[in-house]
Amino acid sequence: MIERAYIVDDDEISIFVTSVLLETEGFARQIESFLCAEEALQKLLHGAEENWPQLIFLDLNMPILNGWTFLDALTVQQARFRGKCHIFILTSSVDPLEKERAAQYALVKGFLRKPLDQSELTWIRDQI
Amino acid sequence: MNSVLTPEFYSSIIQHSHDMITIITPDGVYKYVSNSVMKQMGYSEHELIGQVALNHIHTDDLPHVLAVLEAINHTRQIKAKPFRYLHKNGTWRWLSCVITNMLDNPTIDGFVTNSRDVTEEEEAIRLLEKKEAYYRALFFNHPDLVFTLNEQGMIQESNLRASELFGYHPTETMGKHFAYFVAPTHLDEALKAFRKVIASGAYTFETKIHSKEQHLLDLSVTLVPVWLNNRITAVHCIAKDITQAKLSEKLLHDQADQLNNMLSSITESFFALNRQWQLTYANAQVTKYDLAVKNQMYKNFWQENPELVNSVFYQKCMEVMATGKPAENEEYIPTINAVTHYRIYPFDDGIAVCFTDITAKKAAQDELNKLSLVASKTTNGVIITDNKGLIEWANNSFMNLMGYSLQELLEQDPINLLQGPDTNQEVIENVRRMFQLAVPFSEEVLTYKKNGDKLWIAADVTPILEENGKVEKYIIIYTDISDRKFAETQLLQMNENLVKQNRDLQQFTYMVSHNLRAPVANIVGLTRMLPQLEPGSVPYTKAIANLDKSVQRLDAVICDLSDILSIRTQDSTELLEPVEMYTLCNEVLQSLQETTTALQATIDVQVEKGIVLKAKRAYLYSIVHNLVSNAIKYRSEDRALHLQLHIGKNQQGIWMHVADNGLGMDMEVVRPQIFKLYNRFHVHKEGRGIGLYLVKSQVEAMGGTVDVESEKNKGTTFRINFKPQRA
Repeated sequence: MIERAYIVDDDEISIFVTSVLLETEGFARQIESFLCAEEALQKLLHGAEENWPQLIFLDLNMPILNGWTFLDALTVQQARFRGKCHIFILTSSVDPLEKERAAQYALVKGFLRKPLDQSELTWIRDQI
Repeated sequence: MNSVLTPEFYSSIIQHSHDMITIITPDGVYKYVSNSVMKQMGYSEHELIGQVALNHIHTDDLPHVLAVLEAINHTRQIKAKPFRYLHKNGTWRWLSCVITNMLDNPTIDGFVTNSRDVTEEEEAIRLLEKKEAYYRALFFNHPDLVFTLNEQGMIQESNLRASELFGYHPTETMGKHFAYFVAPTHLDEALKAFRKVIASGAYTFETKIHSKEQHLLDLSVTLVPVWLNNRITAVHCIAKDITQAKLSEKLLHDQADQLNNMLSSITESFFALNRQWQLTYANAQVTKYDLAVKNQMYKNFWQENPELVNSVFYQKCMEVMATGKPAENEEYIPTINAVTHYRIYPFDDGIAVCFTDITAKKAAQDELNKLSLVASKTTNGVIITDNKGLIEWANNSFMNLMGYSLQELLEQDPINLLQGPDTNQEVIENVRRMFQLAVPFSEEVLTYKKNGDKLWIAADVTPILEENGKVEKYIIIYTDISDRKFAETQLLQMNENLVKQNRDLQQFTYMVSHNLRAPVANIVGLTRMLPQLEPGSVPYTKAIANLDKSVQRLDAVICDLSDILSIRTQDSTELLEPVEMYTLCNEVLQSLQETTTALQATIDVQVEKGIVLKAKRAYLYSIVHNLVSNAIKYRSEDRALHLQLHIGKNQQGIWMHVADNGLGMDMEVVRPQIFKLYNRFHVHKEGRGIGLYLVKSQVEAMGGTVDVESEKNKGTTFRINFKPQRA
C-alpha cells in the first residue's frame, strides 16, 4: 500500500472527488491535499525525504503557480526525486497537446483525465 | 782756302741761298733783306727795308713772335716756332726762323733772322695732327667698344666704352689675347672670325664675352684689318653691345613661342586667316581634321578647301570679315564629317576661327531630347536631379501626380519634399544610403501630395555617371502604386487581425473547453461516487452540495460564454451612445454600496463632470464594475480597502484610473497572463478568471487600451485610455 499521496488542485470539488475515491479504495495510508501548488512545492523541496509522497496527483490549470511551473521547479532537482516521487497529471483538459507536453517530463508517470476512476487506480499501482 | 772765303763769296751764297736772311733793328725794322726773300715771299729788298717786320706776321702768331723778339735781347740765339708770314700774293706761308742777337757786332748791329719756308712741312704736320685727332676721337670716344689688336690678336689698345662695359681698366686688357675674354661657347667662332679677317678682310659676327664681373655680354663685332706697307699690322675691332637687343629679341621669340604653344595646346581647333583669306596660323588640333591646312600657310584657304564655299561657315566668315562682329554657329561640315560648333572672331589683320567637334555631344543631346520627349509624355512621374539630388526637371505627369508646380519643385530635395508623418523612416534612410552608393535601385515609399493626400509610389532611381565615375544626375521614375499598396496594407492589417483573432480564438477555445470540462468532470466524479456513499453520511451530504456547486459553476461558464460571444460578434461601430462618465461611475458604486459599506471601504471618486464618452454603455458599466469588484474581491485583510476612481481628459483622450490598496500581484509573474481568459492569480479567492479578460475585450472593442501596475501587498492600479473622439 502506498504510504503517502498528494493531491495538488485549486478546485476544492475536484479534490473532494479524488480524495473520497482514494479513501474508499484504500489507495494510500495518508492523503494530503493542496489548493495552492506553491505550498506543495515548498513542502517537497524543503521537507525530509521520508515525508515525501510516493505519488502526486497534479492539476495543470491553476492560478499563480500552474502545473507546468510546478513540474519545471521539480525537474531542476529531478535526480533527487526520481524513482521516489511519481507524478500523475490529473486534469480536466481535453487537449492532446498537453498530454504530449507532459510526457516530456521524466518525473511524470501518467496523464489522467478527471474524474479519476477505480480502473485507473489499479493501473497506477502497476506503474509504481 | 782763305781766298775762297771772301765777303763776295758769302754775299753770293746768301744771294743764292733758299734761306731768307734779314737783319732787323731792336725796334723790329728791316735793316737788311737778302735776295732770296724776293724769290720766296715776292717782296723786293726795297719794299721791306725800313718796314716793321711784325706787319707781315699772322696776328695769331704775333704773341709768340713778340715774345721771341723780347727774349732775344737777353740771349744769343733763339729758334722760333714756325709762324705764318704774309706772301706778296696774299697767302700765308709758314716760316721756320732762327734769330741771332748780333748787336755786339758793330758791322751788323741788329738781330739776324734766318728763315726758311716750311709751309709744306708745317701743313703736312697740321694735317697729320688733324687726322690723328680725328682718329683718336673716333677711337676713344666711340660709343661702341673699340679695340686694336695686333696681328696675333693681342689687345693693343681699348677705348673708354670698352673699359666701362668690360669693367677692366685699359691697363688690365693691354697685351692680353682677346680670346681670354670671349665666352667659351663662342671662342671657336671668334678665333675663326679673326683668322678669316687676317686672310680675307673685314668681317662682322656676333659673339659673347665675359665682363670682369662675369656678366655675359652679347656683342656684334666688326673686325677690320689695318694694312701698312703691304702687310697687316693691326686689326681694329669695333664691337656693339647688343645684350639688351638680344634680350629683347629672346623675349620676343619666347613670347612668340609661348603664344604658339598656347594656341597649340588649346583643345579647340584654331586657325587664323588674313584679309586675303590666306591661312596665317593653324594649331595642332586643326591638323587632325581633313582640312587643307597642312603646309598651306599663306595660301588662300577657300581655294585650298573649295567645298567649304557652299557652307554657312563660308557666309559667316564673309560676314565677320565685312562687319567686324564675331559670329558663332553649329553646322555639319561634310569635308571633315563632323558637326562642329564654331566661333569666328575678327581681329586687325583678319579673322580667327575656333571650332570643336560636337558630333558626340550632338548625338547625346538628340538622345536626351528623345528621352525627354518620352519622359514628358509618359504617365509615370519623372524627375531629374543634379548630383546632390536636388530637382532640376520634372515632367507633367510628376507635377500632376504630386500636385506641385515646376517652380515649387526646382532645387528641392524630393525625399524631403514628399515624405510625411507615416512615411517609414527606415525606408527613407535606406533610400539616402542608396543615393550615396550611386547604384540604380527601386524602393516603394509612402509619399504625400502637396494637399497632404497619401500616395504610395514605386521609385526607380538611376544615377547617371560622368566618365570619372562621379554622379552627374539622378533620373527618378515614380509609379503610383497606391491602389496595390493600400490593398496590400489593408490585407496585411486584415491578416494581422486574423492571426490575432485566431490566436485569441485558440486561447478562447482552450479556456472555454477547460472551464466547461472542469465542472463537468466534477459532476461525473460526484455522480459516480454517490451510489457508493451512504445517504445521510457526511461525505454523501458534501457530495450533494458539491454537485450543486458544480452545476452552478457550469451555468456561470455558459453565461460567460454568452457575454464573451456578444462582445466578439458585435460590430464595433454600432450602438454607440454618449455616456456621461460621472453618472455611470455613481451607478456602479451604488450597486456595490452594500458591500463597500460593510467593508468600511473608503472610496475616492474624482470624475470631472461633463466628460462624455461615445461608447457602448453596457461595456463601460461592465468595465467599471469589474475593476471595482476586483478591488473589493482582492482586498487585503490587513487593512481597510481604499479605492480610487479617477477619470479625466487630456490630449491623449479620456483616461480612467482605478487604484486599490489590496493584495496586489507580482507583475513579473502575472504580466503575460493577466488579461487572458480564465487566468487567476489568487488562491483561496472566488473567481473564474474572466473579469479582466472581459475588461480588456470591451476596452479594445471601443478602441481603447488598458494597462496594469501592481505590487504585492501594496495594491493594484488599472489605467484605461480612450483615444480622443470626434465631436
